[in-house]
Amino acid sequence: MADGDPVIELSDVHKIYPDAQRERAVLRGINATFRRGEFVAILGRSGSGKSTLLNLLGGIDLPSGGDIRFNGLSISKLDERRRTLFRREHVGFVFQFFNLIPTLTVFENLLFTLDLNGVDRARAQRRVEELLSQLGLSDRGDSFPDRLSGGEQQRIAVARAVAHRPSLVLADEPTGNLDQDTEQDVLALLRAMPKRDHTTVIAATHSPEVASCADRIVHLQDGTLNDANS
Amino acid sequence: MILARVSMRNLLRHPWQSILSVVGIALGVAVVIAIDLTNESARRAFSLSNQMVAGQATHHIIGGPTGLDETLYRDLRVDHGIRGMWPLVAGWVRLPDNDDQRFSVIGVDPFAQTSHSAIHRSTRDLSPTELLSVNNAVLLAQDTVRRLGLTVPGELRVRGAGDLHRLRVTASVQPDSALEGQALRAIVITDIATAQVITGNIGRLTRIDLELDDPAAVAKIRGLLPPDAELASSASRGNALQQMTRAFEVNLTALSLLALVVGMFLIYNTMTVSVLHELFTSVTCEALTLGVLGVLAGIGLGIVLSYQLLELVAQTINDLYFRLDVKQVSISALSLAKGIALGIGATVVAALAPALEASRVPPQITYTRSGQETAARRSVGRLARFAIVPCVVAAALLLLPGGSLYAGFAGLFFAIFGFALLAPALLLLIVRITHPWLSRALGLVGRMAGRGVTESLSRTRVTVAALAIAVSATVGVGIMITSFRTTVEHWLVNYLRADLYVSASGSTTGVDPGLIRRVSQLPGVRSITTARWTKLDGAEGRTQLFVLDAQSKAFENFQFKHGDAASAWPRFKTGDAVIVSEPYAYHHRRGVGDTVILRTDRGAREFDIAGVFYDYGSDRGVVAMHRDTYRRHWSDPAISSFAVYLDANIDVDRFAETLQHGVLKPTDLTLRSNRQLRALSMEIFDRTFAITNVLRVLTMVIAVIGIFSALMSIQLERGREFAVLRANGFTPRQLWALVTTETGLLGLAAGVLALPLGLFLALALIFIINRRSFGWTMQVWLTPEHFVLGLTLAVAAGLVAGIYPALRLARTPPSFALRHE
Repeated sequence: MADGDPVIELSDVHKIYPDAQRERAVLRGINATFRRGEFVAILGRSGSGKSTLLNLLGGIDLPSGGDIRFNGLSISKLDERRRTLFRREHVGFVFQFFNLIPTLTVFENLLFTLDLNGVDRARAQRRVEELLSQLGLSDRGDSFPDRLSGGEQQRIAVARAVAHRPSLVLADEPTGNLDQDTEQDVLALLRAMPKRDHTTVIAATHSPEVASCADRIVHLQDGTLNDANS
Repeated sequence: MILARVSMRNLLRHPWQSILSVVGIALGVAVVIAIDLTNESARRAFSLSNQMVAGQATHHIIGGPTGLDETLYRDLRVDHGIRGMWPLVAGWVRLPDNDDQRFSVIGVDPFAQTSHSAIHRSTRDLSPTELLSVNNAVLLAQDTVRRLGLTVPGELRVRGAGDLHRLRVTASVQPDSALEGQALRAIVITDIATAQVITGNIGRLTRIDLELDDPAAVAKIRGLLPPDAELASSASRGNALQQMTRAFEVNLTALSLLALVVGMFLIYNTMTVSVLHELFTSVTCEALTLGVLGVLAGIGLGIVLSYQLLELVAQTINDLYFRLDVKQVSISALSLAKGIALGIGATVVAALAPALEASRVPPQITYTRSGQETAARRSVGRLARFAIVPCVVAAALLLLPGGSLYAGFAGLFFAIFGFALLAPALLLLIVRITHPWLSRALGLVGRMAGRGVTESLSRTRVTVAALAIAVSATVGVGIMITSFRTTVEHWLVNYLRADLYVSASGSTTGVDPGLIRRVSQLPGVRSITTARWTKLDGAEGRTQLFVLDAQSKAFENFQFKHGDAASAWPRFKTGDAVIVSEPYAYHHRRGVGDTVILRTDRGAREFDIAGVFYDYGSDRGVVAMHRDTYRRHWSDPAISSFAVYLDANIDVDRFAETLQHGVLKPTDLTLRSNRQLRALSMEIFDRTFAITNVLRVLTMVIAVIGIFSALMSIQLERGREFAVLRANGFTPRQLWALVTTETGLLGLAAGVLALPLGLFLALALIFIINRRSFGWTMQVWLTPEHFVLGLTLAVAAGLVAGIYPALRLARTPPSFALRHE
């Protein structure tokens, strides 16, 4: 597969949340294609459904209607276990609040997805050391997440998302909780990924800085997706 | 008002925790109230049955083993003009037409016409001649008449003193109250002469009750009494009897308080969750809300539970102390007030520490879980150092000589408190030790499980301490019971050496000496020893006297704690010396070389103590005396039981069958083989501890609720963390494995901690509490089963309590957890 080939395709995707009083349609018939090696920024107001869309793309949640295909495989038709295995192998997540695993050290956090994917221990350790070195955090491997600054935690979170070399990295407000300097560090990491690792990065954001780094910007408004470049 | 609303809202925000806390407090309070109501009901039943007969009598004239000569009453009344006294004959009969039920017989003087007791009052509507003019006339309570299916007038057949008597129910008595009805439910009221006939006490009175308010009259009557009689005050006599069950009651109360202590940990845990959201006043307010709800539920539950426990307590009192007919729980306001005060007090005390913490710690730390966890980790060393204080207090209370039973229990509670303070440090140590092993065995899940326990230390430390305490109580009490049981079993093997035992207990008459002669002449009988069990009331309270017509060989059955059979025997046989049981020596602080004062037919007399023997038959103690000595000082030829030693070649079972269907057939004596008697003794032993086992189970239930509540809060607080794991590819099964490994590890840690604490509790119970309660020495019997059971129980509790949170978390879609956190 080459850069530019479709990785994930959405056809008429709907998402409706049953509220106490009435159903709330968050996504209303989304059609979109995300390609290998591109960095896409999804812009939209709070509550517009950006996180919902990322959850659907990552197989964390299921659409109420329509289909989502990953390399031709309909992930909305997978059962819970297969979707979990799909996420484990193909997706990396970056959250706004870092969400490192507090019970694991930095090294172990990075080892986590490699371990889950059954990567040979020696190879996994080499990969983690390589990532820590790239981040300039080699000396923090034995620290627990609560000992790191916000910027350090988010850099580790990005590293964790890509440690097992997934095809798709989903970032939900990746810089939403960072100051300007650390925002740039994290953006640099995200921006480098598509070209270097041929990964598709989709980031939901409010931030113009994040949007400015993207290859493509799409707007989520009233439950529909509008491609700003089209 | 606003605070109350805030507290209420916060409680509703954690409905599970709030409900479990209320259930925990309710159970703790219920156990305390139930035990108190049960003890109180037994006490009230006892004092009511006393009052039924004695009324407001201030004094009693009591005699020796055979009571008083009836002429004494006449002499005092006629010759010395003493008024305000009532003679009484008490005994018991069986009702052959009503399942052989046992009824008390009370014989009163209808001419006394006093209203001082319910029994006397019951005869007030009858003319004095009514009881006397009708032959064998008796009165029964109306309810009893109905229950037995009798009519008034009608016939009642009773078996007493070895004969069948046909009694005439001439009237029924309407009790003044339900309690009075309960006390009257198994009593036959009749006149003195009829009572003497049916109980086989011709010419004898059980006692004479008096109402005396003038010290001069007391002195005068004392001067008029013959040497075998004594004037005793009602209060001291009643107290002496109630003292018999005191240790038993204190032990039950202590166990019930332990249940409440375990419940306190639950409150503490819930309040540490609240601290995340609130400050001192609000936390206290919330705790009080939980406390009040728990106490209200606990009162209802306690009353229901007391009905279940009453039967067990009454059975034990009947087995070990005295006959007590109690079916009705007396709902005492004081018991309820005690339960309420303890429940609310325990809640406030348990909430105080988290509330104070909330007021001391800066808000930005109080409000975050990580801040709370950091504070919890920092406090580990401080708590461990502070644990020295309660441990030292516990050691002082437990080890200082001459300490009371209350001090002993206080010492145990201080030791438990000290242990709870040490628990976090020990928990961290256990996790550190098990971490490499878990990592190797379970990989990532194992690594995360151990860390999960230490990451939530503010919650896990309390959970582990509560579970460890509950399990240690199970282990400790279990070891104590096993040790006690094995000691008693060994003692019985040594003590019961005869082949067969024939007893008049359960019979309405004693053993006929002629019958013993006939048995002794049967082929195969090597020897026979007779025994007389009687109670003597005197200056030293009530003394259980065991009169033994034994040869030197049978005397060797006694296992001596102080003195020995060889040196004690000659003095025991001919020298007016007695031997006393270990509990008697302990309670009366006597030993070899001291004396025992007993009231003989010729007045009070000192008897030398020649030895102290092990005895587990009575916790108040026994004085054993040779029949020859007894004969020299009391004119009481009665025999309560005899033991038959057979030749070695005789088939015991076949001989017993022959005896039962031959010589013993016309009697209602009970024949038991050595094996049957031992089995019966052990059955009574097990019955005694039935209530202890119920309390152990209830304490464990509270602990499991506690661990369930704590695990729910821990797991739900970590919902986001688990959602991230799921998002990154953790399968529901892996999550389930992680959660259950964590909760299993908590259970394992609690189990490991419970073992040394359980052993300590067992040793303290055996060597200090039992000794101070009953005066018994026990051998410690350590078997692995209690430790294995304790460990299994703790791990199982952890795993079971973790199942629901694990399932709930595994089923929660990660998107839901991420969205709602």
